[in-house]
Amino acid sequence: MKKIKINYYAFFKDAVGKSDETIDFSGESAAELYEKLTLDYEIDLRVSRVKVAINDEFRPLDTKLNDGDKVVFIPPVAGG
Amino acid sequence: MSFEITNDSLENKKYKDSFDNPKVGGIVTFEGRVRNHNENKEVKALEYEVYHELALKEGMCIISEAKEKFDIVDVYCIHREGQLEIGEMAVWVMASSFHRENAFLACQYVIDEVKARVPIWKKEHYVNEKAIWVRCDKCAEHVHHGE
Repeated sequence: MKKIKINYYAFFKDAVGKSDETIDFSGESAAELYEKLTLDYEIDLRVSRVKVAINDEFRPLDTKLNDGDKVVFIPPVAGG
Repeated sequence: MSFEITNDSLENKKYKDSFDNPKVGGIVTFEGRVRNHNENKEVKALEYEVYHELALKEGMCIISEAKEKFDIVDVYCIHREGQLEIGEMAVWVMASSFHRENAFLACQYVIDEVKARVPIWKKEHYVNEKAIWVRCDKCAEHVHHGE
């Protein structure tokens, strides 16, 4: 079981109702974590529209997570 | 060369020093401002949220790319966060070069890449409708073409 810190922004923060949490995660990849979150919080945003940052770096969604990682799922951006 | 995020007004936060470089023959600036309408909705205010750690990294990456791709002297971008009213400046880009063409190209490159890549989100508050995160309102329904 890994401890994963998750930070939420914008669309995800509103959907989840908090800006961060630390969870026990038994899966392997960021994609698996995203699937778990969509089920837990009924997030209606397809994974194909999401990017992920692990420890403040963009990473592929199939990246394996390690104990203590900080994960941020990034919904479509809209700066400017 | 820099990329910054600020909570303060951009009106007085421009890099006037960079305009004094005697090598520079062309300076192009872009100001993105909050408009009062979007997709037939009446907008009353905007809210920007920023993932700071990654936004600063990605923003500086874009600035470095612009410096490599175009023959420019300098390039800056500053983006607002927090609540903005109609007419306020949300983003400012400046590129300077010996000749105007590269300054135009670099300025366009930076604003386009910032909008596409930097983890900044915009919530639009409307006069008569519920506020939404731009580009997320129909995320689950279909993929927008050309994004």
